[in-house]
Amino acid sequence: MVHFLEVLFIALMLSSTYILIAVGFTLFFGAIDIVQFAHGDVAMLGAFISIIFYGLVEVSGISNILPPWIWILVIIIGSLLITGALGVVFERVVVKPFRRSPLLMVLVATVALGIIVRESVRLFYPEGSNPQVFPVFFPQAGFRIGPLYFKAEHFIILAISIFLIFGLMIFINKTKMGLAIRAISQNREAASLMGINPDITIMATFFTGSLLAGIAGVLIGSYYDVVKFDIGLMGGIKGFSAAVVGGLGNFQGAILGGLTLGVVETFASAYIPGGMPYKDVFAFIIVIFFLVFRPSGLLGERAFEKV
Amino acid sequence: MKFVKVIFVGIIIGTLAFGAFELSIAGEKPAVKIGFIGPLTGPNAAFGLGARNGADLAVKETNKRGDAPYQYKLVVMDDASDPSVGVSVATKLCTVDKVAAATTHFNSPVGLATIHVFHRYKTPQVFWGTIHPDITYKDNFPEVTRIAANTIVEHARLSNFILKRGYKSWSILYDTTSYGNSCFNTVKNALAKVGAKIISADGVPVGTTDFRPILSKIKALNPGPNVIYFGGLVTEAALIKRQMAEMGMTDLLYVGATGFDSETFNKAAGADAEGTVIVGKKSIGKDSPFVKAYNSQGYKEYYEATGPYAYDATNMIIAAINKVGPTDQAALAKTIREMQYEGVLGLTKFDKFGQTETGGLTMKVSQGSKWIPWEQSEYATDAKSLPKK
Repeated sequence: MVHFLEVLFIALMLSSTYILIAVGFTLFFGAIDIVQFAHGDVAMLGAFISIIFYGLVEVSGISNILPPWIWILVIIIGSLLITGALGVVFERVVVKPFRRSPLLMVLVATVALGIIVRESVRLFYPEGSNPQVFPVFFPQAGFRIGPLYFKAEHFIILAISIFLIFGLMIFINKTKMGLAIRAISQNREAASLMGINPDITIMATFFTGSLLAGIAGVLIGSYYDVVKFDIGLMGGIKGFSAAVVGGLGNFQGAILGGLTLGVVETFASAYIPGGMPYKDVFAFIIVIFFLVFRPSGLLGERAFEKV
Repeated sequence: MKFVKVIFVGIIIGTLAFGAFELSIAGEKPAVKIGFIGPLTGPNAAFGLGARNGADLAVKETNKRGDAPYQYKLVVMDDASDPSVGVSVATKLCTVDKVAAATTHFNSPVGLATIHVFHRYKTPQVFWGTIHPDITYKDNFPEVTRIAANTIVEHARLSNFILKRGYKSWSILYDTTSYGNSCFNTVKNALAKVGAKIISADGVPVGTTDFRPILSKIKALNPGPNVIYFGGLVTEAALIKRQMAEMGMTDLLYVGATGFDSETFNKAAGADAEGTVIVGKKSIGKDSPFVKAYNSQGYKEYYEATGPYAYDATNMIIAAINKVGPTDQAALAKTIREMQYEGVLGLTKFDKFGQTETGGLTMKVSQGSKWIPWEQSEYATDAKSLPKK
């Protein structure tokens, strides 16, 4: 029973890392019908940018002057804003030129963007091929409930993830910009006739999505304490698969898909004898199953009210 | 038109003059090329760059001393830890650069592919890295020699050492590449020989970041292990150790082989690395001539565990070429095989398969975020104790 609870918690944490990436894919597909395959790599960028900021803070001695929670907050918010800004740059350079082209072109372009981002970090970041230690941002206090070990950090990560996902849903459904995003996802021409600027709206979508990726990068980096230039590749594929399983374009679907993938992977590793080498196989078999038999995913595409 | 003709003639004369100048300053010694292949990019770049610098140091020192009949040049190639890249650069070295001999590879999968290339072109290949037994024992190509110990020797050393200290119940984790698989098979046999018990064995794909599920499974085993062995490389090894500590598995000893004999492991695992034991490559003292010479050259990268191996391998190739010349490659291969060379690794002598009998293996423990040879550590004097269940 104890073992089961421990595995369940591990599955929950793993699922939340997938969900954080999956909601980004959902946003991009739901709002502007594109699959942003570089999303995982943008998350990796967010993690690396916070490592750089942390290094700057240490070198400049600010960490000795101000209390930790201030400069940690500054680092995190700073890296998010920069990641968001980079997202806008990527949109201008890589996505906008293909706006009138078939969607496959954008997908291929974002795959190429992902490769460029990944390899740039590997080549230009000092010792980029090696694993990098991620700075400690959250309280590391550990506590035990019987034989189960927890860290305060884990609960903070979970809390921030939940807050983010609901924040995103409120942003899409209750704010003016969210309304604009939903409008252009329904009918871009009609929306622009109504006075909504598709250019600005798409930029805002990319800013929001990349900001989300940045936070995901920071949280995932904190959870594993180590990041590497290639974590965005598999992370992106898993996140995309989670979004597909749940229903691409549906936020509740992204949550459900992330949970499904995380639970399958964790339980396969922990309970199936000899299951660990095949943990990804189990997860992707589920994805293939959905693509073949139920391509609209568990919950179908609902959040953006496609008519 | 006349102006163009003048310029054209001028360029030709200039090139000839420059060529003559180059020839005149090259000296009388014929040039000999030695090849180097290693992972200069990718996840094992630290090992490859350290080795490259070691080989480069050997060539620079030889040329500076000037006592050799040849002027040596190192032709450096990157295999990126990828067998297909390794094969294509090996082919280039043999056919385009026509190297007299080459010193190669960190990753066994790459070496297993390129021995066929070097054998086809009859070019001697001295391995400064890799551990897979098949590289030397399977085909026994006369061109192939290896100055690094193979995995069988490594794991015999490791299991004897750990068993002697009373750790009899092992849980094994290994990565699913041919490196990890060979570690698993070898440690399995080595442990059977010393009478240890394997409680669990699980493969993990390279690139896995979350080992918590499998560690949770190991934690729940009854009876549980008192040591966890990992057969794999730096990143996964560091993540496993961190997650072991996070899950309260600090009473289990963590051991491994040369795959994570790198300070990158200590950096990535942080304070959690403390008390990890590995069978490592030769440990070179800070005051040794090799280290002094290496530092005086001003290389950007640390020599890692692999630098001394590539240094000795290159020096062995140079010694052989000095003796029999670079053109008769069969004689060169034979000379290297029969050589008994005293270098930074100690004495290197090959068995009839071209495999070194020693390889400079050193038991190491992670202490204060550094790999310290066991004999010099506080653990050896009982000032610190290893985790014990």
